[in-house]
Amino acid sequence: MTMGEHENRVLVVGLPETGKSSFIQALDEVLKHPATESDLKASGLAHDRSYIQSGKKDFFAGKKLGRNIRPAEDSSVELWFEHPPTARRGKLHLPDKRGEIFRDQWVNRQWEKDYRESLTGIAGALIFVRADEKSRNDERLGVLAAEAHGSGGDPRPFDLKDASAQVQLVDVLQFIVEWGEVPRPLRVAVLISAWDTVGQTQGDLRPRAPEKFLEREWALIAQYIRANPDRFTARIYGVSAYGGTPDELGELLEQAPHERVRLTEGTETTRDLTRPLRWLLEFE
Amino acid sequence: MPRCGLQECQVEKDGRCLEGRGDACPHLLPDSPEPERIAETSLVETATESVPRALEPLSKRIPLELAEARSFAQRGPCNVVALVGLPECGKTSLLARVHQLFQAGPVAGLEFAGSHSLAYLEELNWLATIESGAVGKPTMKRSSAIFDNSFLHLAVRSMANGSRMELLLNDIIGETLEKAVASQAACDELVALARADHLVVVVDGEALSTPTLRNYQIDQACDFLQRVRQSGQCGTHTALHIVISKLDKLAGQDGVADKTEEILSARLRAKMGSLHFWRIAARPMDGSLPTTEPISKLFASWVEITHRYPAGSLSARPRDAWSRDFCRFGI
Repeated sequence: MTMGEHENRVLVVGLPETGKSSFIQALDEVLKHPATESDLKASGLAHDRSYIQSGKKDFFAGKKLGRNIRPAEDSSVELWFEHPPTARRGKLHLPDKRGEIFRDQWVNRQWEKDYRESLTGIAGALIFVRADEKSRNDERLGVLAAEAHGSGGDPRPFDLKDASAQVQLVDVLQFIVEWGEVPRPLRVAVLISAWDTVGQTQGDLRPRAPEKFLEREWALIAQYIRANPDRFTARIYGVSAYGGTPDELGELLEQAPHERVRLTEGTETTRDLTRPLRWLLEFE
Repeated sequence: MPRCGLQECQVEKDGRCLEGRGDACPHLLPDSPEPERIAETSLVETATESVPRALEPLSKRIPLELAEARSFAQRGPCNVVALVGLPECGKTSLLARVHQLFQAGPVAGLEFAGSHSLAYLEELNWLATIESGAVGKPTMKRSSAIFDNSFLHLAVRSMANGSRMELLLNDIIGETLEKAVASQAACDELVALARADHLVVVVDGEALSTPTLRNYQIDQACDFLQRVRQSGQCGTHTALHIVISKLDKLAGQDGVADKTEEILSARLRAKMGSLHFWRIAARPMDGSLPTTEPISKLFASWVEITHRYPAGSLSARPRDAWSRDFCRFGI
């Protein structure tokens, strides 16, 4: 590393299939094809890109990225970047941990010492939730409770894996800030993936602004982050890493991945996926 | 899971130290690897051809023991809420409802600021979810007497002034209430009551609607309150809440609830710090929706009311002033 270059580690957090790997693939493409002069851009190719390369073909084809069969510890992603307005260059390390690792922390109530130690010195965290996933289990209430008479099979015994997604994720965040040695407050960018599914139908009443969306649809996480200003400072984004639903992109596939991506912050939509990272790394 | 040298102790099965000493208990035997753990470790070794990874414990999935609860009380303003009621009175439904309310948004101007009991709260609510596959009357996981001196933790933050409060919820099972009425010694074992800012007595509205059960409900509530007052566990330092649950079962019988409140009010008003009555339906069965408003207000009162400290003094106290919170009450 030369003078003026910085190593930046960003934690990537999310339960299984929340769009972490596709975001990283899309980010790699956007870095190579910045939309404006102020966007972060690639300053070269990292020496080892074997992990990101392994999913590249499927990502270009608009296919949903399959579960990676590589060992969990071999999921490091290194991206080299520069920030033209400040001439700063650096290396971005994004360990693409499988979502099962975070789920296992919730279920087993333990984590690896190595993981805890890796939290020290992180610049911030990307937290993934999905726009098209339920944040909590449905209750039998009202008419459903009144009609739920009669016989049926035995209920499934409780398994922690079945807990509400937002509850699991809040606990994972609690582990990070209470058991890990992370900066205070920790900069977190909450990325709501599959954002292209929001507002697609006439009856979709979900807010179109990511911050309001999180407030309504993932309320426990929104409250937890806001109610702990000494631990977190946050920005909320909507992300469409494919520009549409994977495996159903159709004509969108005519466009290159960096042209299809969309990121929404507030009411503004851009294809600059580097925006959350610029904020995490304090370029803005 | 560690094993215990005491034959009666079930710590290996449920993680609860019989003597409430937690990891410091001298009877604990050296940990032996569980079969699953051995298998898991072997896999890791095969995959990486290296030493097994060191694992570190995080928060448990069961309620907090006294020592753990003490650490939360030391963080800053902390109110302890003890909940009691006869079996099946709806106490667990009330706790599960509070958890569900926060999942939908802030409750009565209070934001969810954290909880070390999320796993347990999710389990409490499981059988009331569609995902569980349960049909018929929604049932709740029943608590156990081993948790009578344990706590659920919940932290909230006021949206109005940003002040934070740790809440420790002490869920005492119905059978224990009856034992405490029968025996002062059993009542004295409820050590967490000594620190309770709030005592919530849940009276089963369904039982009140049944003439043969009604008077027993009221009598047991009164006798329990008499017991905890005469032992000094509760009194003028305690905010007492009488919660009539399952309001849907009392439909058309408002007079019964009124009379219950009259009886209890006459007996208790001057003897506690304050007396509050609530009527709720946390999980109604008649097609109506839960009574969100009174439940939210009840929850807010746990945060806003305390008779232990002068009004308005909670947030003014320096944070280190809380460092001996539980010790002051001998627990």
